[in-house]
Amino acid sequence: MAKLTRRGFLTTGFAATAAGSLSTRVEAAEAESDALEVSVEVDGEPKTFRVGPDTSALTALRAAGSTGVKEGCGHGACGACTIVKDGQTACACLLPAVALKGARVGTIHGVAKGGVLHPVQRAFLAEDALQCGFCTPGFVVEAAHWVDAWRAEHGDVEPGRDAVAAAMAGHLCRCGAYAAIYRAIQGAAAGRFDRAPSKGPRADGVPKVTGEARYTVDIALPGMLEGAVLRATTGAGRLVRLDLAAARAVPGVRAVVRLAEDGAAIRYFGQELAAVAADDEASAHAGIAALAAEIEPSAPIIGLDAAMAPGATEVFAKRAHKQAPSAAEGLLLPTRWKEGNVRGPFRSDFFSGHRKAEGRIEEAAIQHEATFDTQIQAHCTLEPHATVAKVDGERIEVWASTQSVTDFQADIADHFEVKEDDVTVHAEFVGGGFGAKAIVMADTIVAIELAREANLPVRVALSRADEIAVGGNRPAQRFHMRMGATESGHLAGFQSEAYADGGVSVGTITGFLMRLIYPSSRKELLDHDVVTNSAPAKPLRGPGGPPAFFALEQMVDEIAKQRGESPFQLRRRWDPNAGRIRIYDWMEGLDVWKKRPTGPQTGRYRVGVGVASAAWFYFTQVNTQVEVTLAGGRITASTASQDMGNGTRSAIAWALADALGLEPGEVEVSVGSTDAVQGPMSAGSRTTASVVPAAEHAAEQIRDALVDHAREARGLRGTAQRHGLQQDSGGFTSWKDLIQDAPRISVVGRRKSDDRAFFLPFALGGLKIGKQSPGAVQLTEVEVDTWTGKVRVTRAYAGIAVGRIVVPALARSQVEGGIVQGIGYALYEDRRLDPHTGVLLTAGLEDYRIPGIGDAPEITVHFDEQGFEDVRGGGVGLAEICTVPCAASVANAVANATGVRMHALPIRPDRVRGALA
Amino acid sequence: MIRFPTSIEEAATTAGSVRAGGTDLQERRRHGLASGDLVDLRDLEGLDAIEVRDGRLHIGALATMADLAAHPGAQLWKGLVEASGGLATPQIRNRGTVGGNLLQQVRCWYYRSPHLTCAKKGGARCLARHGDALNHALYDRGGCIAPHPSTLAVALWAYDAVIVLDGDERRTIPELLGPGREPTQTHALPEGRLVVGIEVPMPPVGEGAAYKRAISRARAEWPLVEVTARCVRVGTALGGVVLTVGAIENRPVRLDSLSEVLNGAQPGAMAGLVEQALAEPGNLPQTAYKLDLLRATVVDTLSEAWRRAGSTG
Ligand SMILES: Cc1cc2nc3c(=O)[nH]c(=O)nc-3n(C[C@H](O)[C@H](O)[C@H](O)COP(=O)(O)OP(=O)(O)OC[C@H]3O[C@@H](n4cnc5c(N)ncnc54)[C@H](O)[C@@H]3O)c2cc1C
Ligand code: SF4
Ligand code: FES
Ligand code: FES
Repeated sequence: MAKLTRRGFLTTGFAATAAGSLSTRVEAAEAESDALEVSVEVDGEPKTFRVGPDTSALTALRAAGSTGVKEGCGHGACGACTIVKDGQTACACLLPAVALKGARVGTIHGVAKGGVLHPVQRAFLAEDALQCGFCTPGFVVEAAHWVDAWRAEHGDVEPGRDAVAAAMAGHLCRCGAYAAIYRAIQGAAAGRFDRAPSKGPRADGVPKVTGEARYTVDIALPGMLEGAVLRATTGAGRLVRLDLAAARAVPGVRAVVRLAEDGAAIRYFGQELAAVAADDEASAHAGIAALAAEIEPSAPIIGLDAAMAPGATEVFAKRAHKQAPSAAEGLLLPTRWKEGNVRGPFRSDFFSGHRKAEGRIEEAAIQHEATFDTQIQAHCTLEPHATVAKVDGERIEVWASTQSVTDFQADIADHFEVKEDDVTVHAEFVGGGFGAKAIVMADTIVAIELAREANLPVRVALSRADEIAVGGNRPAQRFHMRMGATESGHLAGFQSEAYADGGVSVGTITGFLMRLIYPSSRKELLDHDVVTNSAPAKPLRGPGGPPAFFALEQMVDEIAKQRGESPFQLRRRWDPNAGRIRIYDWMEGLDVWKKRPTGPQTGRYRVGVGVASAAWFYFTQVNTQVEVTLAGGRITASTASQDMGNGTRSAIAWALADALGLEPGEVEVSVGSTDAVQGPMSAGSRTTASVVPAAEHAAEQIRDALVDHAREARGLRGTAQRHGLQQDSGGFTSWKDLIQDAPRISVVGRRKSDDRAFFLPFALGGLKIGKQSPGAVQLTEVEVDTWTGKVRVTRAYAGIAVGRIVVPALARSQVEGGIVQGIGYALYEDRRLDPHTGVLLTAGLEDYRIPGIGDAPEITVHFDEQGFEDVRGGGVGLAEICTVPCAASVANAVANATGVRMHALPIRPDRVRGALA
Repeated sequence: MIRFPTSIEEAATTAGSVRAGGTDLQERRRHGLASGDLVDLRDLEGLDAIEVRDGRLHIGALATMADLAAHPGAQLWKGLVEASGGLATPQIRNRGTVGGNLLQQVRCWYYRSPHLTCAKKGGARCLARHGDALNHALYDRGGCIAPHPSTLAVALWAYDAVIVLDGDERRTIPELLGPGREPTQTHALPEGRLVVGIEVPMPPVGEGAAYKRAISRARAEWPLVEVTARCVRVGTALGGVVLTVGAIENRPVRLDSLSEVLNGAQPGAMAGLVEQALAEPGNLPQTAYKLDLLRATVVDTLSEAWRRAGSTG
């Protein structure tokens, strides 16, 4: 069953890694008798629901077609399901449907009245207060309700940030759109958006603020079955037995597939063992219960210390090592298993004088040595992994929450041994990815297998707990660092010895990242994978970056401190990157820096300012194409890519508009289906650098066609200029004008190579890596309560050097979101497993703590647009680089405030108190 | 089976789990931690009233936390309305009831996992005690080490509230919750009994009160420590101090001996006295840090109460 894909990772993690599942105590969902009738008015329309005693209002409303009401957590923490019931907001997920009896309910679908958007919706569009859009309906319902009440009470007075944070405290946005949400709600309450246009910079914003956007979880096909997956409920052990026949005998069950053989090893909590498809969710769960999985648990290996302890149990018994899936973004780089649970070291320090590093450090005037530990971070996208599959003979049609329709298509074709043309993948709207949805996971394979067996469409979606358990995570890491600086303040050398807990997966490499910055020194860079009984890691926004720079940039900060020198001054000497140096200049001029506290502080609350730099790769997918069609006076574009909030649609629309003298809103872009020409994966910050040049190439061809059209239809001759045709006779005709009556033209634009050579002549995992390196610097101000150990980020400044910015509003949103996620990583997020059983403890959004709106600081974003002229399109991606320096910058700020350095993430109250004690 | 009783008598005599707002119960039922027949209080009228009568605050069991927080008459009980308006999230406060808040289940991650059976669920051991108890109690007093979840219990105890049951029986907060030695028991209300309302005596004129919690994020997080404080000004000195604390044991704690020390003290001496009095180190490996949070939150909350107190001469 396990199968390696073209790219060399296990598509599903079963068979090979699934060696057993724990005897699982799945609760039989009580058969819901839909005996209760509830009459309710939904958005002004009378409705009658037939529900059971435990049916939630969320389930009832979604079943009745109000799919704009979203499920993000199912337990009252995220607010995606927010509705208004009889004049008060409520979480529909915890509200029994029977409570709706006689109620007046307002959902996202009723916020716009008579097709006219509410000022809050206009504000969200104008301020770009959304990315993937999955949390947006909940925020908009709450904000519209609150803003109306605010204005009724206070008039058009702008509320403070604190009032907005209090009102929105029951909402979570994983994309971290809070900075813009503040602007939107404050502005709407002050009456600034009453007459704002009903469109904003984001090409797909309107369906997201009205609840009309359909995500994979919203797809319902006729006859569709609900799939459920039996998962291991222990971290280690052996699957003894499954009773497939009993599951098949459950009424309503239409298909059962086994995903692990009897006797197979269980290597992580949540490992897939079997799956069931049934007429409804309750029957599917009854089928899972009937499988009566019998599991023989054994003691799991949880965490680096347990895995590396002498005599530790081997997570992969002899010769099973090869089954470890890859957590890497590109290729899995070869290295050797050392012993037990450790693989490596992998050296990234070739041509870096690594043999001399140690000696140089030991001779150096200033030396520093420290160990840093980082935690496991879950991607935790607000829309979970979900797939709807339909199988018709050889034809497979899939709706999936994916970051790459084309890679899913290829992987599915590969796995099921059918032709790629026989596989269609759709992903019109994707509720966040961050790297978790780039490769096919078990949910997709299982949905297809179930659909094939049942001969009916099947939906499989992960719960929030599943998502945190197996949806993807950033490995925990430990870095032993040494660094030396010469008398004159030059970097003599540094060493990093890294160990990564990627669960059962391997391939975490951080040494490569550490050599992207501070080139002129001797470095020794070693990476080890340590396998443990935890679900496989996946690339998470800047894979390896936040932990690596957390370690590296604190070392740099420490050296600057020991030298008594400004961290900017030191970095100017060490860092040759022109973009970052310009950012240092900008930051040094900021008041927050000039007025920073210097010298020791004594009060309870201490303020600190910290700086950290980061470097990243420039990736592009050179087979990217964008098809552009001019017909009936309108421009439409399409590509087989997807928009998970990163702005694929908007980047194409703005690039075409810019090249043809149109408004971005005049270009219609469709993505999210493999029916279009080859498009890029939405990962590795490659989207902009891939689609923009392809769109521009298409625009050139459209312009050529318009020149012909001008000559043939209007008898005009001339030369093509930026926004139109300069006629030889002296007149000027805009492209816009020529588009009006041009005949149908369809062209395909390609992402051609850059003029400057790429880093490697071949593509790695579908990617070309450029020689140019994007840069970022973050300056952070924190306030530390030394009595409680609580750290609050008050202001953050990001300087981003990635060249040309195509859609400024969306670029800013990305950076603001990257900082918010980085703050989550720095201060709160920590995926925890029980050390004795391997069971997930942080199984919901109450315990897996992502930042809320009150945690978002005031953020200033500065783009340095120079220096990427030799990249086609003039700029590279920024989605990852913007989050990489954040944790380090926060930690350096804490060190500045308190005089103590935090060596472990997250920087929790107990750790700060411990360090201060 | 689900019933919708229309009178207190009918509700009290119908077998099954009582459902008020359902914000706690529904999550447990979904994960199989609770099951069986439901007695849904939806159609029970009149139990959501809040009024000040005969020198007491009367709160119906079905009043929501948002109702209580916003009620004009209740503002005299500042520590209570602040607790009610500061817990959970706006949407949960709009739906969750004060009765349900008092009788909700713990948030221990072992308890909430459908895959584990700890002592509270009738299993042999408390799994947190030897597992991961990062947010658990500061003091292990035996039994369960999950903090009691009810914020309102902490605040109501500070006001010596009386819980009214069906049949007009009355309980103090410690009586309602029970001693906390038996891990399966999060409260001591027998199955089938109903909380009907709460009566809170009037605070003295000029009293200042406050509620605060220590959390790691800005908002909407379960408290690591939570405190309700009441006091009056006696000249320049503290008087009438009452302090109740949540999240440091499996029951709310009332710091009466500390209050005695503080009565008559100058507010400037508060921090020192608190540090001296609250000196017992925690006895669980991961939560010793909570002692610092406890001291800081007590000082913060009482200082706020002091600022709000009017002079009583
Ligand atoms: C994200 C989040 C954060 C939260 N944070 C906090 C917090 O900081 N502090 C805090 O205190 N709470 C917090 N809560 C919990 C919340 O306050 C409770 O869920 C709510 O108060 C329960 O009220 P309910 O009416 O919905 O109770 P229900 O779910 O209906 O009932 C809860 C329990 O009480 C019983 N019950 C209810 N009413 C009665 C009655 N009248 N007589 C007898 N038995 C009854 C039920 O049988 C059930 O066992 C949080 C909840 C969420 C989702
Ligand atoms: S603390 Fe209480 S609820 Fe948690 S594991 Fe122990 S007994 Fe169970
Ligand atoms: S889905 Fe209801 S609050 Fe998250
Ligand atoms: S936009 Fe909020 S979760 Fe994606």
